[in-house]
Amino acid sequence: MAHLVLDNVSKNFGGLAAVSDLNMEINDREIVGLIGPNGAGKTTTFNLITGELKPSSGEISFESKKLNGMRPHRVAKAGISRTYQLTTLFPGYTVMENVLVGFHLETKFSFVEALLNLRSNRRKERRLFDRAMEVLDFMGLSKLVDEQAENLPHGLQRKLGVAISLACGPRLLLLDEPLTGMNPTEAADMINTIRQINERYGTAILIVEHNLKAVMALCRRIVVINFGMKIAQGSPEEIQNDEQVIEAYIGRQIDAS
Amino acid sequence: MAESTGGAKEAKFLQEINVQARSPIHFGVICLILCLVPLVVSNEYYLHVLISIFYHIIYASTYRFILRTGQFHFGAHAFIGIGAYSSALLVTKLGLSFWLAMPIAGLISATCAILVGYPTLRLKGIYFAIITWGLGDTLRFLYIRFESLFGGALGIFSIPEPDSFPFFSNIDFSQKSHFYVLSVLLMMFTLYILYRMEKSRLGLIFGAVREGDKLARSLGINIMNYKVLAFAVCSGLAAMAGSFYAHYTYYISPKDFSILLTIYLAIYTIVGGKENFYGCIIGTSILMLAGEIFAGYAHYQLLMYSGLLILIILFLPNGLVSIYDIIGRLFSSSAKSTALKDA
Amino acid sequence: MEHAEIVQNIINAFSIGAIYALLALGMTLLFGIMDILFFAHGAMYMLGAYTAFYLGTKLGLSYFLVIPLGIFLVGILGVGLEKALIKPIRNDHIAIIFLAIGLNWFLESLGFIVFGLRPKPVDSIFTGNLKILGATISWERAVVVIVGLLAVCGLYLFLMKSKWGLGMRAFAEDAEAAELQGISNDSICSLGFFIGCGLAALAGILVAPVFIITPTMGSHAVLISLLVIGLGGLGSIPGALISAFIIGAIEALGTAYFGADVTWGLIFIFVVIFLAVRPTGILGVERE
Repeated sequence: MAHLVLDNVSKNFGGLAAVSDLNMEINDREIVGLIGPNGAGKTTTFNLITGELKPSSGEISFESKKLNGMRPHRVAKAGISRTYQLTTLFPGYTVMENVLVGFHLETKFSFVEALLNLRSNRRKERRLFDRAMEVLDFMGLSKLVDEQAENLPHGLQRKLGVAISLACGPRLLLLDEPLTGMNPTEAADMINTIRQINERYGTAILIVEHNLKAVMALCRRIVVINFGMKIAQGSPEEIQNDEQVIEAYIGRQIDAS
Repeated sequence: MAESTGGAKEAKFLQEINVQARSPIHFGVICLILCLVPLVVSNEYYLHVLISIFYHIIYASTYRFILRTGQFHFGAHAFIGIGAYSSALLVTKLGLSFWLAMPIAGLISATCAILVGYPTLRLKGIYFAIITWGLGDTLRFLYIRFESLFGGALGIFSIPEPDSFPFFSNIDFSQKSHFYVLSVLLMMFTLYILYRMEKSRLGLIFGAVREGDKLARSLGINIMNYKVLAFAVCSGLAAMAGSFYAHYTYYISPKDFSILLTIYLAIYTIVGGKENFYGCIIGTSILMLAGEIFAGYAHYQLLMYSGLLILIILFLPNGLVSIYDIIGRLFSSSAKSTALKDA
Repeated sequence: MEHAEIVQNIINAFSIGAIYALLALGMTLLFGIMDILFFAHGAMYMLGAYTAFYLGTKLGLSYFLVIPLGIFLVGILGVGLEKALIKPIRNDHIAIIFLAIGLNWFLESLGFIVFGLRPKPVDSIFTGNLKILGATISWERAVVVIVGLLAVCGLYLFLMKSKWGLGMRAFAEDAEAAELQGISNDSICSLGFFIGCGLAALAGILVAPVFIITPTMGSHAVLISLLVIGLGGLGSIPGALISAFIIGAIEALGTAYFGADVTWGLIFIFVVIFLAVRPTGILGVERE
């Protein structure tokens, strides 16, 4: 049974069609890449899935539940989490505090318990701490637990961003250009981490990236869009040899010059 | 349990949890000590000053908490007024006991906060400021217009002091010290609730709502629920302090609840330090004590307060509490340099 | 309702609306260009009025001299305040808001101490009434409307056509890029504050003969400005104009039929409902 289904989804802004009749599926445990030239509608697609934008037409469903019009926090509760193009963290918080926010859905919060600070509350907090350390360990950030998030170098900030989204325990993770601004070492590290997330936690991943080498290495299936429409879909080999894809990228390059 | 490489760092967070475990005891001890003050101080004027400071601390702390969820609150005076008027009316017109009226007044205010909050907290920050400011003024006009109910511009007179506390019938509030103890209890109760909210996971989420609501939403946090929760709880607590105020001063009028009250609270909070929980406690205490110099000359008082606000924002942005941090850093850096010399 | 009554109400609405528009204009400019909600705007308005009193009534200067002089003095004060207080914290918008609040009440208290508690009357040089379409309006108020319109047109022309106006708009779009293009950020801020505070002072000077002036007139003016700007849409000058007249209309009609204090509640409820339905205001622009 398919995990995430986009069925003839369109999004119009005034007269501009940002996304047109997009059909897409992401299956259980898949890593799918979404690529296309700048302005092709990739981030719009993300925003449609997470509920930050409402589709003008078409249906989006996740695990048989309709996502259309669901507000972002509900979409997150339904099991979809995302990172952003510009690194978003809670800048004033430490690394640990950042991840802890991600875990807020983990245990049920009781006002009375917290107010009286009963032992059960303290036990919950210790458990959350342990879970947070698990995730930080996994991401390789455990040594930086008490650092202010805004003081971390760019590459580690992006990793923290992924860690926070991971803390929600999503079954589908949307990564919006996670490798931007990373040097080759950092990028290789991040690619490895993404692969591990998929293997260890069984999370399906949809990744938007401009670093095509990374996309080819990571994804089993790739969807290519241009001008808001899907122009190709298939394995990395198929995509690399697809004429329309090549034209989209090269055509764009000629236009740009 | 994950045994990881961050051994010492682990301990810091877990230590914090243990500190928090002892907080009820800390609060209890402080409360007890404060309650014993009247045994030593019998001067009614000093007690009056302390009482004023205590209920203003309630006003300011609740105000600060709302600011900490990222909202520009300009209507603290409105909700305090609702508390004061509700309580006064419940007791004078309906004959309720103060001990019922006070919590009911708190609930009324909290309900109003929820009603006002849901449509307005989702708007951009400055709209919330405009609406809360306007709310205060509109309520004042209501109080003046509906004279038979609210007493008009003259207000409500002869609000009775609280009736004797249920099991201690010799505490009849005929003395200042009785009011003093009540104000201590009310203040510690409020501060404890605010403290626990801030230090628990709830506080972490409130901060997240303030720092990055887009990110918080994508993590499943329902922003509106949390903002309204903070708004309602704080308004309710402030209203209870307003109720205390009404029965302590025996007389309230619309003039008591003008925008100036909120401005004062904002000044106390920011001068004290809005980042730190103890900031507005310190700010309120120091400024109110300093303001006693100009007692009766409201303009000079406001001049001093607003001047201080400007100076603090420019030169000590984290408020007076940050002086403590600065001193701490000076000492630790000098300690470090001696350590280096020894090494 | 008689024909004459309707016209009278409309005329009244216009004159009140013009005052509010002038008041809000300066604040809108400062918000639109510099992203600053300058709460001390009200204090500038109050200072403008008192300047009119001291220069006009006390010193006996001609009204036509008082206007430019008053604008200039308050404008210079605004520039000075910007350089001393705002510039150091230009990037921290929250701090600026609270600083401006402190400034407003600082100047207001200073006003109480220096000018005294008793409201001052200011003589008007425009005596007599004007009759339009069967309704009367005092010349004073007519002058306010005329000057208000001139000020708006002047500001519009300045922003659209003049070199400095274009510079300000560039600054509003992207301050860094503007700096790189040779548009000095410091100069723009100074100019912006001069004009913004000057406009507030102009409103104060014009209003001085019409209303009694007290040091608290500033705070009340700030709230009205905020309502006007909020309703009109933050950062939109045409929006501020439209909403100023709407609020003026509600006040004129409300005062005539329901009484002054209820009117205030009506205005407020109207603004709240409108914003609930259309959160960006009348002509508001979605700002990132």
